[in-house]
Amino acid sequence: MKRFLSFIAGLLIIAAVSFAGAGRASADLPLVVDRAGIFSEDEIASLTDRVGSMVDTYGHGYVLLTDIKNDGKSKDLYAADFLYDNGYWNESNDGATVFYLSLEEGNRGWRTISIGANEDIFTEDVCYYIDELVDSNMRSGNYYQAFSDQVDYVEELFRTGRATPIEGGSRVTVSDKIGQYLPTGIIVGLVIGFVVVAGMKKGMRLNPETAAANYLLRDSFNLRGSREYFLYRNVTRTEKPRDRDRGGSSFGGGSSSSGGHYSGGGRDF
Amino acid sequence: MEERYSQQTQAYKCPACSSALRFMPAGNLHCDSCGNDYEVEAIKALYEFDDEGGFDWGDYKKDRAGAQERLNESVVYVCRSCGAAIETDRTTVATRCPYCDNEVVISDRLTNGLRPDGIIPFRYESKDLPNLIRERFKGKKLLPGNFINEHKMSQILGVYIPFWLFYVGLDGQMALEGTQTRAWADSKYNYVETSHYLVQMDGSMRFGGVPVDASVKMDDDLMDSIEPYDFSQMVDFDPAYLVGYVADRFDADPDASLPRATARMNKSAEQVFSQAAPRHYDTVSIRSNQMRVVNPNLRYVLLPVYLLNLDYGGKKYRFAVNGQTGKIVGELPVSKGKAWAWRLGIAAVTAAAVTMILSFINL
Repeated sequence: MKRFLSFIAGLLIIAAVSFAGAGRASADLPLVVDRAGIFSEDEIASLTDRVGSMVDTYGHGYVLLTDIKNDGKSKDLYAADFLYDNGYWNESNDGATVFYLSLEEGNRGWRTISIGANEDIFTEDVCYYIDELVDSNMRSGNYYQAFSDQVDYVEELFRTGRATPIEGGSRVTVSDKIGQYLPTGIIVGLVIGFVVVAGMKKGMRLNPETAAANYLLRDSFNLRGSREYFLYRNVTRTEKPRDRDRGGSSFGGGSSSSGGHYSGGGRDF
Repeated sequence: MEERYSQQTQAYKCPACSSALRFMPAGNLHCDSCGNDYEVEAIKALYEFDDEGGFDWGDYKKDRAGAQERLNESVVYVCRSCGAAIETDRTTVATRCPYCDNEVVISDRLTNGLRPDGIIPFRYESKDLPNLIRERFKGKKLLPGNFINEHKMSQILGVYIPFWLFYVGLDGQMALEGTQTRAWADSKYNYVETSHYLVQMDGSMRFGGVPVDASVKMDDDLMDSIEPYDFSQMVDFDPAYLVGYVADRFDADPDASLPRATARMNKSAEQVFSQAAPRHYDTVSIRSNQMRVVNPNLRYVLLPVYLLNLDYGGKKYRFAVNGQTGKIVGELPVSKGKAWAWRLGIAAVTAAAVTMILSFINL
C-alpha cells in the first residue's frame, strides 16, 4: 500500500512539474543560447527569467539565440534547424519560435523563425513589427536592449493575443492613427455633408417629368430588326500596386534540414 | 477658263478618337492616330445614322389652324348679372366679375375650334389645400421657419389650364453602342480590353396622351412636374365645369408644344430600345436616335390646377396643386443658415466616424 501511495504521489509531482513547464519542450533546454557571447551573465539571467516566465505562463515555445556562424546555411534555415534539432518543439508546446541574431562576418542580421502552431502567431505583420522595434538598437550594437524590447513585445503579444503596430521603433497608438486619418475624415465628411445637403436642396426644387414612359401604349413596341457591327477594340494596362514598403524586412517559409516546415523573417545589417 | 466642280464629300472619322480614317487596300478603314481598323460596312452604317434628317411633324394641326385668331391684348365684356364692363386678357375663358362677384364664362371663346375636347373636373376643394401644403412642407429641413404665410394660403386660385394631349407614333432607327469587357492580369500589370460594337435597331412604338401645357404664360417645368393625371376620369367638356374657377384657353401653338412632347417620348424610346438590345453586351448607350413622328394626333383639354404664390426674401415662389390628385409641386426657398448647419453637422459626424473606422482598421 505504501508503495502504491508513493507511486501516486510521484505521478502527481511529475504532472505538476509538467503543467508548470507546459511551454517548454524540456525543462533542461536553455531559453537563452548566447553562442556569440554578447550578453553578460546578469543579462542572460534576466532574459532567461523573463522568457521562462512567459513560456510557462502562456505555453508557447520561445527561445533566444545568438551565434557568429551559420554553418554555411541561411539565417532562416540555421534558426529553423536549431529549433528542430534541439527538441524545442514537442507535443506539449505545439510550436516554437526562435529570435536569432547572426553576427557572422558578412552575414549579419536577425530572424524571427517559427515552427508548428507558432507560425500562426508570428505572422508577416508581427515579424515586421518586431523588426521595426529592434532595428535601431541592433544596428547601433545595443543587442541586449534589442532583445529585451523584443521579449517585452512578445510577452504582450502572448498576453493580449494582439500585435501592437510598431512604426519607426515606437508603438503606434489609436491617437497616432486618429491624428493620421483626421484630415482624410474631415475631407470625406465635408464632401458627404455637401452631397447630402445638395440632395436635400434638390428635393426643394421642381422635378419635371422628362420622359413619357407612363404614356407608352402597352404592346405598341415593335422591333423589326437588329444588326450588329464590330467597331474597334482598346486595351488599357495599369501597373499592379506594389507591396507596401517593409523597410528591408523579408518574410517567407521553407523546410528545415530535417524536413520540418518553418516560416519567419527579419532584416540584415 | 476655270471650271468649278461641285462635289458632295464625305469624311469618315474614327469612332474611337475622331481622327480621319484612311481606306486600306485590304478593304478596311484604318485610323493612323489610334491604330484601330474598321469594317467599311460598320462605318457606313454609322454615318447613315448621323446623316439622316429631322422629324416629320405631319399636318396634325389642320383641325385647329382655323381656330387661331388675332386677338387684342385685352378685351372688354359686359357682365350679364350687373352690366359692368369686365376687361380680360385674350386667353381668359372664365373669371369673376369684380363688381358683383358673379362667375363669368366667356362662351364665345369656347366655340368651334376653341372648344376643349375634354375636361378633368376638380376633385379637391380649395379649403383642403392649406393642410395639404403644410403636410408637403413638413419634412423639409432646409425650409425657412417663417415661410408659410397663413394669409397668403387663403389666396389659392383654382384654374383650368389648357393642355395639348399628343397621340403620336415613333418609327425609325436607333443606333446604340454596345461594349464587351474582358480583364486579365500578369505579374506586373492588370489589363482591361473593351470591344465596341454598333447595334443598329429598327422599330416603332406609340404613345397616347402625352400632356404639354398650352398656355404661354404658364411655367412649363411647373406643369411638367404636376403629372400624372388620370385621363380615364376625363369627361366631355361642358362650360358648367368652369363656374367658380378661372379658366384660360390655349395660346401656345401646337407646333411649338410638340417638340417638348417628342423630346420626352424620344427619351422613353431610347430606354425601350436599350432594354431590347442584345443581352451579351456589358454596357449599352445611345449613339444616335433617328425616330420620326408618324400618325400624329392631338386633343385639346382643360386640366384642374390650384395656383399659389408666396413671397419670401424678395422672391416670388409659385406652387401648383394637381386639382385631381392633390400632388403639390413648386420650388421652395432654402435657409442658408440651416443649409450650413446641416452641412457642418453631417461633416462632423461623418469625419468622426470615418477617422475612427480608419484608425481601428489600420491599427
